[in-house]
Amino acid sequence: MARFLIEVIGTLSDAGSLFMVAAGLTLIFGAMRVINLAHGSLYMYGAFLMTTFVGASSGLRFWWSIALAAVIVAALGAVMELGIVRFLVGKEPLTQLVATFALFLILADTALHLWGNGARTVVAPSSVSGRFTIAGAVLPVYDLVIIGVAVAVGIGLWALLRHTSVGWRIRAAVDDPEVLESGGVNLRRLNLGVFAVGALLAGIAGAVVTPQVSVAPGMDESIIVTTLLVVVIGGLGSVTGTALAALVIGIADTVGTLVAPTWASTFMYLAVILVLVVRPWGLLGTPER
Amino acid sequence: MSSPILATHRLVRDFGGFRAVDGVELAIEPGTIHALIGPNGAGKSTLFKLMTGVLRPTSGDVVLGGESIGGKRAHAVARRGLVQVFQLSSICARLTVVESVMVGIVTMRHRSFDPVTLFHRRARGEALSVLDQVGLVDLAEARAGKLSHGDQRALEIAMALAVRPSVLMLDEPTAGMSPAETRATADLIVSEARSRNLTVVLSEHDMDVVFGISDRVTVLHQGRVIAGGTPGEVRAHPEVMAVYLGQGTDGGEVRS
Amino acid sequence: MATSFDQPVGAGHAAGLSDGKSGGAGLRPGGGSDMMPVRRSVVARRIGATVACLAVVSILGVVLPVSSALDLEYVVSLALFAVATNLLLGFGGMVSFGQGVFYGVGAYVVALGWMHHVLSFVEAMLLAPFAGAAVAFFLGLLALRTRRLYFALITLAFSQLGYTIVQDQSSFTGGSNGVFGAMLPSWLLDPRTAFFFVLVVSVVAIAVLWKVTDSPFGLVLRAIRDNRERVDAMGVNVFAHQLAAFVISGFFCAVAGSLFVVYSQSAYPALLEWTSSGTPVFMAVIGGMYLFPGPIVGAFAYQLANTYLIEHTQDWQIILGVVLLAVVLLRPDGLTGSIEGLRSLVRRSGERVRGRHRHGSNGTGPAGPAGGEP
Repeated sequence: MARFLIEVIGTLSDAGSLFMVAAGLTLIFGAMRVINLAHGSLYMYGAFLMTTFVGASSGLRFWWSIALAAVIVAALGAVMELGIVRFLVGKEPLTQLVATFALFLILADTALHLWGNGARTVVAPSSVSGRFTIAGAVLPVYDLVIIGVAVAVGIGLWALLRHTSVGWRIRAAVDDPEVLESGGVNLRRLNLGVFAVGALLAGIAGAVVTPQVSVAPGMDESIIVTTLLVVVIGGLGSVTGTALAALVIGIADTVGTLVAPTWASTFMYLAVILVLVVRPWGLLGTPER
Repeated sequence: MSSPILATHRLVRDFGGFRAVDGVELAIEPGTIHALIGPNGAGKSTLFKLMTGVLRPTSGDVVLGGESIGGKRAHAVARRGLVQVFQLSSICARLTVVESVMVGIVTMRHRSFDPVTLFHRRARGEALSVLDQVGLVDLAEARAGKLSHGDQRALEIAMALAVRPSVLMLDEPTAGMSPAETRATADLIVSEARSRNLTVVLSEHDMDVVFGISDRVTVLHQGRVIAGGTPGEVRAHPEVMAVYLGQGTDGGEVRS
Repeated sequence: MATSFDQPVGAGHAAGLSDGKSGGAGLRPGGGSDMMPVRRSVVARRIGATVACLAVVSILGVVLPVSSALDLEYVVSLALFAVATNLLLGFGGMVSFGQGVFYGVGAYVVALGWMHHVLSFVEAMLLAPFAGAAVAFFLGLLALRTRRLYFALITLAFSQLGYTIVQDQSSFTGGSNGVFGAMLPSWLLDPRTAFFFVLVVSVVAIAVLWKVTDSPFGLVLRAIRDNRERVDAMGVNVFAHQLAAFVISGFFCAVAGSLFVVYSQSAYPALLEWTSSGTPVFMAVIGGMYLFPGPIVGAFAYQLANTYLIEHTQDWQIILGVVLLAVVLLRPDGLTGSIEGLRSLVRRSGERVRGRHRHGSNGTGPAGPAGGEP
């Protein structure tokens, strides 16, 4: 039972951080029909900025640093949207993939200049860095923080999409951008906002996970692959599907690691491919035309 | 009266709760030009897609030359001699005009997997002769994407003819054309049908074209056949006058 | 730009130009013109340019210092990789980010055949392409259920699947260290011999791929790229043709992968990773996807710039990123496409001003004199 609980919390924590990154990517795709291979770079920037702001101290500054890092990443996202991404709307998938991969390369080298090649660590404030015991299981408190933030992000997104006029516009933009445009909605500003929010989510995720990972170059590349898998099997553009898919991936990874460690990653990819064979448009996606 | 080359039997297609095609019985005689008309939403486009294999019927069947093709996929239907030209311009933009037609010839000759070039010269010659018939031979080396709308429509007919179909399905062949282009297209359809003994099925909004070139006309309304016969018979049919011709003769351009 | 790669790039451009001259007839089976004399001269010029390029590369392989000849050898094999990828990308309209799998399979068949003492070098080289084709067949069956972006992303997943399998099954594959050692037979140990071995195999393979694109099959493939519904309605089994293209591409990507072993005497998991799957795609995009020599030009430009820049700057990735952005946003037809466009522009303006004054034959692009106006 204790063992089971440990695995469940660990899986939920992994799935939660994955969901935060992937939700941003799928939100952007849903509204703009643009796939962004540099999304993982925004996540990495969130993490690196976090290491810069936190410095040696912890405590209250830790929480402010998360917010600051996320906001700066959102601003970076806005710059990317204005400079490059808005020209990719309506373009061929190849154009989008190559252009955003180019952004990925540029951001990776720039990060190398800014933060160097070494790994950095962040220590969470003592209030959340300990462990707690429940039903005989000893669990890291910080796992609960990640799960909590992920749930908050999920609820926030849901509220944004369902209950605000911005959300209504985003959903309408998914259905029929032309109608929306003719209805007087400024699609450019909407796209800019959506992209910044997507970047913000990546930034939050990157900043929040820092106490549990070593922050180093290359984390952009490893996160983007998993993120792409999550949004694809969730169904591109579906936030709910993304949450579901993040859980599927998290569980597949956990179970795989328990059953056959050397085949764990292989199982994960096989699970993804299996989903796509059965449902080529993802769990909750709609066929692309 | 010979046996029909193309027939539908109690053809039904539902979209959700909506029945777009409702038990349609059609029998199309070989070598005739057969027009399908009806107001918007009558089910013409759906019926077309069912016959060409783009859509699968909910129930009922389509029979081509005695063989059931209902539910077969588009390329399999085309292989059996029923080839369609789409309603919207649909060409291969980066290919040249002659290459576009060669695609049909290569396909018809079962050479599309041929990785050797020797077949090319023959295919090219045949393609040029097809282009000659539709009056595009001068544009053979132009990019298909750069042609005018009328020329693109003619190219599409040439691409379909290259496959040597027994039945040619034309979905609104004159849509968006100028009067001169419309007349030229109508003439082309008639001459190709007569010279090749080709069966042509067309859906059309232009009543001058319909009554000018068709041997047979079938009128659809709300997914059902309400009348069929020679243009004269159809024109005189009271129900047709009531539901269709009476409500504005051109039937409207706006389509779903 | 450094002298060390000026010449090969120029050579690549010459190939591109010769095709630009024929109005891209190299891609268009039976294209060009009906007038046989014109067509013959186009063919002759194209053959001439190809022979000239081959001669330049061969001479460079002899006269360059061994380390540079090795770089060139690698570029030649990458050109094959890019051309084989472009059969899907430019001709088939299928954006595959999983080509590294086939490349890696080709490399690992040779490397593992040696490590496990089950295949001789020659046997492994002969088996590798068929292994690549077989893998491509099964992956193609799955991937071709999807289209466009989903196709790109599912092939990317294949790439990562292959990467993790090779990485994690270390008892069989050597794991993340890869396989390395003296796996070449004695007759290939001399670097000059290895150079010409790679050159001959690549050129033959590229020639076969050219035949494939310049065939009824290649024509139908391009038609599917442009408008699959239309071609489907003409009786073409789109899925079967795309699958065939996928298998052919896998076959030749595996050839390129096996040549990588000749070059590096190693194989490692990163060959299968999605970023290395992206490499031939970027080469094709930079060089131009819609002309047959485009990916060759792209491979030379990409890899030689890479080799050179990595020695002199830490910012190779920034430069590559900026170039990719510029090409994809401003010049989507790539280097060869731009040159072709420029030449036809020059030709047209030349025709317009003809009679007023003689129009110069220069100004046809960065490669300048390589093709030469008639």
